[in-house]
Amino acid sequence: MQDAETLTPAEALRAPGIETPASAPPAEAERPKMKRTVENRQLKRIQHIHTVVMTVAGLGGLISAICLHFLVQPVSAAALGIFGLFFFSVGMGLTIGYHRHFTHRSYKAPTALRVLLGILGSMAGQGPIVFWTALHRMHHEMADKPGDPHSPNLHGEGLVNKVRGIWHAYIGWTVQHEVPNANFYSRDLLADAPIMWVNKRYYLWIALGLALPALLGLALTGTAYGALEGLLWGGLIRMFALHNVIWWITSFAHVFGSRDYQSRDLSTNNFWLALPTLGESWHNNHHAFPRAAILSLHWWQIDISGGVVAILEKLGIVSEVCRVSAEDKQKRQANPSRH
Amino acid sequence: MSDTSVLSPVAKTGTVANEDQIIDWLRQYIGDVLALPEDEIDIDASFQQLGLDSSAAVGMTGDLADWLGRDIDAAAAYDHPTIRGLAKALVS
Ligand SMILES: [Zn+2]
Ligand SMILES: [Zn+2]
Repeated sequence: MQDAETLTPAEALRAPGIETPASAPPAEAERPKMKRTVENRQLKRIQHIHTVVMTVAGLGGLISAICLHFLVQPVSAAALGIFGLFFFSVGMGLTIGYHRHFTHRSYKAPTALRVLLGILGSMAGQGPIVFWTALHRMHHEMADKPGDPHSPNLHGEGLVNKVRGIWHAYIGWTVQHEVPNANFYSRDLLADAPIMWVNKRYYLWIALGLALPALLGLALTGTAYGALEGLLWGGLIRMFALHNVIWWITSFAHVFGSRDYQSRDLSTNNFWLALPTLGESWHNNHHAFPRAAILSLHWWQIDISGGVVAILEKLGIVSEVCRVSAEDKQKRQANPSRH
Repeated sequence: MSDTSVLSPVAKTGTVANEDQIIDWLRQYIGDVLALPEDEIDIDASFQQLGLDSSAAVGMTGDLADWLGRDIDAAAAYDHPTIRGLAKALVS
């Protein structure tokens, strides 16, 4: 799969001009050496406990809501509306914020919008911005090779091993992965003061992501039960749903589906996941063109997140939106004769 | 860090790193990460104030341990959250 014209990780992941400042580049030998991962059991354990707490809280919310639905009263339309609103907003924080803007720098945005997307993304409970971007850059760099934090394709041949691989890439990895060294992977964000302001207050944003839907539930129904439903549906269940959405990408989007473009990994495109993943399931397109802000490469490839970026661009709010040129598309086609 | 800090830090090159050399290394490292000239990095500012989050500070401690060729307690960057403080703690 090694292919001379693929982008190097540095080209694909780093913002232009951040790796070696033009002013006074220190000689390579003098620069302090950095490891890609942090060998620190304590830090690793904290990361893993964090995922377990968030997952159990989300699942607990779902079970509670199911019990209430059958034992107390059917779920209200208000609660489902709140779920939709927060799924979409926090989802945007993840897709066009954490993923396409902070990790891949696929478009430029004003500070207010960057901060808003950072806060919304933090509400997902998938880690602070610096951690999430570092881990995801490590995924792109090592994709489907040793060192990839969540590859489903490193567990060997045969059905049993395939299933084990998918289990690992779905959820097993969340308590096993190495902790990326943020100094190595996310230095652009460490130097980004407004984003570090958001990053530092990560747990506050999680709390806000639970309080806001509860308050909205209270406002819409005027009852404490409405607030509880808001907390469950717009907070905990939404968190659990978005966790699963990301896990579909880390697992299924490297196994099932089509590989339409050449990339250095086994990433795939999946139409059936396009709507709930807000467009992220065009994952082979994404690995082939990691800097692209819009993952849809054909009119029928629905990418809601890319659509939002395009609207924000039309409104003049975001700029320098990276798109895949027709020429690049042609060049990287996996099977040119088919098209 | 009781038993490791009594030992003098020995850089991988074989030379013993003193407090100033550790301070230089930390300034260089943070300057490299944040793309700042070294002389703009205040050695009495906390790592947080400089822009490293807690996971980055732990990552830096790990890289420093590699350079010194010895273990550094995982909590060192929390207990001594400035360049000067950390360097001092490592040679005392
Ligand atoms: Zn990506
Ligand atoms: Zn991937």
